[in-house]
Amino acid sequence: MTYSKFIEADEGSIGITAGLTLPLLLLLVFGALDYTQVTNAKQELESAAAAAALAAVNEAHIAYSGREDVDLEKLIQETASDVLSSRTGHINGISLGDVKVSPDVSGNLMTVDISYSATVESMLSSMVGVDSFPISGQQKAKASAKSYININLLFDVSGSMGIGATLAEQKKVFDATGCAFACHTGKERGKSSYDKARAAGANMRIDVAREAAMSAVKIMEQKSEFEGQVSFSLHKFSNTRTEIMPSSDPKSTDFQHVKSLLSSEVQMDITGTGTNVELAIEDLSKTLKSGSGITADDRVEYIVVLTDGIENTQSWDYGKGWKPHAEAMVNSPSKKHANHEINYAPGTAPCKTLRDNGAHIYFINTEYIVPSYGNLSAHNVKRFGFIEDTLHDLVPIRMKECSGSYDNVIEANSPKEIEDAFEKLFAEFSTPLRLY
Amino acid sequence: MRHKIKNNKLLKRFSKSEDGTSGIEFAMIVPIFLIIFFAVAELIYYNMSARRAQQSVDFAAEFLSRDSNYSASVSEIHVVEDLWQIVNPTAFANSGGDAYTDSRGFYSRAFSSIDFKPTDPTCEGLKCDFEPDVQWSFLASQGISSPKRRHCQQNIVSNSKKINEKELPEGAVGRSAIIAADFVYKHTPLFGEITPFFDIGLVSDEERHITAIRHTRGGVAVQTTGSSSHYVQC
Repeated sequence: MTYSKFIEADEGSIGITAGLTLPLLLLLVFGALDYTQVTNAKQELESAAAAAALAAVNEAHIAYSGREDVDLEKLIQETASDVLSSRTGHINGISLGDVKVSPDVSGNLMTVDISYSATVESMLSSMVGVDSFPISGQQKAKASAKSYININLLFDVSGSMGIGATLAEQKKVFDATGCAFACHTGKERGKSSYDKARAAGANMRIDVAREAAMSAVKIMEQKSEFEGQVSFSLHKFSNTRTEIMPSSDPKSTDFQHVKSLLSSEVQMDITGTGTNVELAIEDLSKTLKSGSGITADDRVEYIVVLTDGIENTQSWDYGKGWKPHAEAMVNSPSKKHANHEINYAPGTAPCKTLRDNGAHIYFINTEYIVPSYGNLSAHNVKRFGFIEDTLHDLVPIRMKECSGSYDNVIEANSPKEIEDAFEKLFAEFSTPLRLY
Repeated sequence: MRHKIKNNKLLKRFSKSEDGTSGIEFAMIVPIFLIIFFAVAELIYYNMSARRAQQSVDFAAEFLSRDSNYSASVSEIHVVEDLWQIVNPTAFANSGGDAYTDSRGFYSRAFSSIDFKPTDPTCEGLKCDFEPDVQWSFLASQGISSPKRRHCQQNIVSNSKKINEKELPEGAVGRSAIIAADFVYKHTPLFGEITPFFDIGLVSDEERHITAIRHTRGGVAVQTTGSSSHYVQC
């Protein structure tokens, strides 16, 4: 056959087409089959790592509760490795590579993070030069030992918490008082603009925070694993801290009493309108020491600070007017807007003392809101400008530095977010063993 | 004689004819493609049922090991049995059985509670050597010729060995009690009768035994309130 005849001939075209497509098809088939092999291997390893993580934290949990004299992190490490080997040692076709077991024991909270890499032998793809496929994965388990815990709730009750909780609420406040923010000062209880706004049906941030805490206490009531497990101590602060109820109070485990105190005592401060988060924490750090959680007298201490985190030196003195508060702990960056008024972000030094003493610190960061109603004076425009431009982004960083982790800082602005934040935290304080 | 000459002519004409060549090529190639198609579908079907079965047994062991009161009630055992159907909704199709009369398909499920006691009774704590102490086992089965349940006597074997119902891997041994779930299921090939030559073991309908082991929460052995013929107390 000549070349031109070969080119023109159309016999065998299907055979040629099939010959051309078959290798491609086979390649896809081999790939698909090996893919299923890899997904099977991945499932086996994920399951093994999950079992190892749970078993390891469980073992540490037992040792902690039994006050055994063992290195808990080492115990987690060894148990995880043993269980992982028992689950993966016999699986054909998988070569386990790097396995990293990272235990963490912080007070009564135990965590393990297991990450692994492995190679899966190819079944058919080796025909095209692919001998194995890499896979990797991670499993994390966490548990807090069944412990006696004390939850310290610190409420910021300074002027900025008197803003309407939502835009609609801000309008209500404005309609009732003529301003939307920080005018709740210098009157007797019942006659302040805060009280006027409340009478007009407005809900301020502090009201939302109080209600959210009350419902979260109810959740803690349901989650308690045994009688007397959870106690509360309540504090509020503006320029200084006021202890509403210490954990030593016999009624600190009575949730009805806690809710009743929250309702009656967590109210706007209508005399001391400045904010001193750092001082409140420092004040607490002088007496608070976290325990093992094994007995009711030796509770693990949790601290939840609900604040917008914008520090303010101002305070109100009857008969004398505004003045800077004597105990204000100004640090940088700061800006002076008037003699009595300097804004700054909180310092974190006292947090270290608390954490060194084993306490766990959390923040519910209710971001500072610039009011949307009412006319702002030139003075206030400058003040809000500094807060928005400089302090707004710095506050969560300081909170992270104070608590030790961004995981311990929850931003919550709307009423629903504040309620969710309390529930999330309270659920975390009593963490049953599970994967994360 | 005339017929023979005529047939020869017909054969010659047939052999020289180029009509229908595409059809012949197509008919030769289609079976190859169909075989590939069936084989792939078969393997995927097998893979799906294997994955679901493994997930079921893992969930079952996990569920029982999480029991906070350390007691596996009869209703809890029923829940665990139903995990097979939840995770494996088409089990009746790929393990035999019938969607209406036996929607679970053919499988056996065994759950066992195993504690560990120190070989030296005076030893306390983590450093002791432990031996398994099987508390009880439950077994229920449909359509499985060799259902497996944990034996009261367990041997400790190397982690690298695939365990049977008489063995535990050394890595699972410690002071914390465990729950072992043992399922046996049968995989019925989708095209078993059409492509019997693909029955190379991977898609065979032989019974497969799968196991999952989980440590109990708190390390305490789970007891049971069941006392029917399904239970064996060791």
